[in-house]
Amino acid sequence: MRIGVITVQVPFIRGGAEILTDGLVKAIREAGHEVEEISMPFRFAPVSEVKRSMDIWASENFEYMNGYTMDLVICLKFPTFYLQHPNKVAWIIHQHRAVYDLWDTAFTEGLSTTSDGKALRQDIIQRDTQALKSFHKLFTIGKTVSKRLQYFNQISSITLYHPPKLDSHFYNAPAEPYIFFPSRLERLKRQDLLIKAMKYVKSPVVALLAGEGGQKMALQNLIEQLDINHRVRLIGRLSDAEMIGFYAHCLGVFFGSYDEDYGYVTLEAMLAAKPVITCNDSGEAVEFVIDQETGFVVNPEPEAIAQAIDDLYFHQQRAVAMGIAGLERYKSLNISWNNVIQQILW
Amino acid sequence: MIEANNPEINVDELIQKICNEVAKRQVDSQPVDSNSNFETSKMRLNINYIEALLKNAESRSGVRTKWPDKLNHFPFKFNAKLQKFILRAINFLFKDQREVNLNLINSLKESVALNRQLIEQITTLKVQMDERLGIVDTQMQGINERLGIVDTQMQEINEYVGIVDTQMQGINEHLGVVGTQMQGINEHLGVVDTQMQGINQRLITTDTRIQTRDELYIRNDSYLKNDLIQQKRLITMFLEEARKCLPEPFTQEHLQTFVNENQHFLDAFYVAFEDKFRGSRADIFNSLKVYLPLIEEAKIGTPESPIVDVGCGRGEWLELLRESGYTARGIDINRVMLEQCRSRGLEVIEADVIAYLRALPDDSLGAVTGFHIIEHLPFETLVQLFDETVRVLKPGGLVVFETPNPRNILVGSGDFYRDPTHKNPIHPDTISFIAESRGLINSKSYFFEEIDGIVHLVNSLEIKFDDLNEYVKVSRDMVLIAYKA
Repeated sequence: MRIGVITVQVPFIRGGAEILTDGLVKAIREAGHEVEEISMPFRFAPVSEVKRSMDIWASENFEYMNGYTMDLVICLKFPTFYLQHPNKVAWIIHQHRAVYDLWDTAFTEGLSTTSDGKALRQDIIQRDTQALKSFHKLFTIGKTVSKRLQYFNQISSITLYHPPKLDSHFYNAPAEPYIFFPSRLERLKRQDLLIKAMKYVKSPVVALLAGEGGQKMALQNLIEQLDINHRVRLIGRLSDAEMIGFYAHCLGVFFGSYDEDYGYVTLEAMLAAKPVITCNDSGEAVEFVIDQETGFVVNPEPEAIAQAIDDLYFHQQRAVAMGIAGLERYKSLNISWNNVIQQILW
Repeated sequence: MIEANNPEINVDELIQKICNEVAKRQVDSQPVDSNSNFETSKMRLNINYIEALLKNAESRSGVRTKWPDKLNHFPFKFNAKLQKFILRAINFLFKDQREVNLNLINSLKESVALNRQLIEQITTLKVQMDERLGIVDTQMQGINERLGIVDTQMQEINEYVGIVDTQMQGINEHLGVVGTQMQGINEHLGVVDTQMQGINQRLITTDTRIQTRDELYIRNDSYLKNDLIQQKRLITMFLEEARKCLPEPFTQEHLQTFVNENQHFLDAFYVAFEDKFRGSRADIFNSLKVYLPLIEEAKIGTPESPIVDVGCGRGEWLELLRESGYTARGIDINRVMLEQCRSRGLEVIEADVIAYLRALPDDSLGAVTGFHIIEHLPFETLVQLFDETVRVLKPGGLVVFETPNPRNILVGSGDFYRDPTHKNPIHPDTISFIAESRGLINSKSYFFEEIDGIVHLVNSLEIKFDDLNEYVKVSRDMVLIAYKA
């Protein structure tokens, strides 16, 4: 079959979505199909640019491609849903969260305060709902996204989990005294929660935060402000092997992102058989982590997080057991690309 | 492991440590996801396709509960109740078929599950095999490396062997040269040997010459000494007598005595002459041993039947007899000879042979011997000698007279006359005839013959002088042996 994987990109910014797209394309190719990733740049500001992007996608008819026709298109992101094609499948990474779950929160870049923003919101909701109804099959990457879809658009969808990159490379090693938190350094990921928590940690555990991003300066300042440079480090971008190594040797992983769509970090921690500390508002992470069994689900407060960290340090046998339980949970979820392909293509 | 008591942890060290672990691991590990999964993943996808088909079949095989949308228009648009009825009828009719379908689908599902298991096992096996092959590969590499090393070493060894060969060659050449030199040396030695031999020969010759010269000098010495002694004695006697006579002159008696000394002038000369021409004392001594059996046989030589050797000369025969335990005495007129005998402790008397024998009683001697004396006597004296001998011999007594053999042509024609005091040669027939005619019995003349180094007496009559060689080969001496009855 000829399959098109349709997405948008912000050039030079790569995140989980890009990893997912790569994985999907590779899996489809390995399944023996011809596949093409088709993408257009997307600007989330100003509002006019968002609207313009929506119009462009709506005007796209992927049935006529001046050459080969595609048997199937898979739309991954807003506003690719608006294109036309007789055989459309969506595997929604997330909708335009700024007008949905992030509306009227600290993360919306002030959108919710402007009339433009409000207008945009109305527009998006209406057009999303209409467009998504024309899909044969609607998948989402996680229950959180599905819940949002149901709540905001009253559309039901199927949750389809997929494995993180290099899933077979993760390994486990004896724990060293540090908490690991790899993510893009941005506000949504809430690295500041962990940093603040380290002030309250009684055990000698340190925190190593990997990744780059716009928040790097602010986070570094925060560390210095709290005078915990000897306990918290921003270790920058890691290579794949390094990342896997740091997963393998940590005492536990912290992942407290706000209302996470999927959260590779959680799954990677589980693959490395390490316990996960997450927050009860961390979205999909809460679906994966079972409190007291594969980790801790705590309030998004520094003290609660610190307590969880201390718990891991002072009960290390239990920490190891939790990690193993996490790995077992991962296996029980039957997360694989085969599964994805099977569902999406057929 | 984490130490519970450590309050401070060095963050930088920790980060470094993790990075080191990662680096180390990268060296060791192989990616789990290797190409081998590719084929199995294809198989898996095929199975997924089959599963999807099954699902599809399953969904279609279910009971129809809804009137299909396609038939929702004229002429098929029935009311709900009729629709329901028709649906139920269809369901009823196709019940069996559905059952069959369900069973088929279930069995296929089982089959698919089985296939999945097989794929898993195959994958596992493949991984194991790959591991093993990897190990084998590594070992093969190791072996290859070692073989490479061995090869290199073999090469080196070969080179060494080559070098050794070259050196061996060099050594062989050296040996060749040495061999040649040895040959040269051997030749030299051969030459030296020959020269040594030559030198030895010359030494021997020189030795012999010196010996001969020595003998000559000794003889000369002896002769001169003897002569001088004689002269001294004469002069002493002369002076002594003169002194005794003083102041009277010499009497006729004295003078006669002096004149009588004349006959002894040649004593020393004769001794020297004998020494030169007779042969050495040792030789004579040995050659006289041929007569000892005769003495033994005749049972003579006891004190009651002594042996008298007339003209005993240097005393070889007397010495031999003494050594053999026989009683014997000798007589001679040569004072020098007699001195020599006496100095050897032999019993000798200075006397004229005829006068001495005449003075003996009849039948008193066991034997009368005379070696190279009868050729010195005039014929009449010889006959007298025989007569007296016959008288003084005891019965069974023996006569032995040795003399030069004139039948030997060299002796008869010249050598006999070497000695100026020889009278004339005596023929063997003649002397034996004289002996018999004067009264001796068994009178025979004998020549000497040497057989296997031993000298034998051979009867002169047995030699037939029919060949000229006989005249030369026959012994230079002969002996008369006769007995008294």
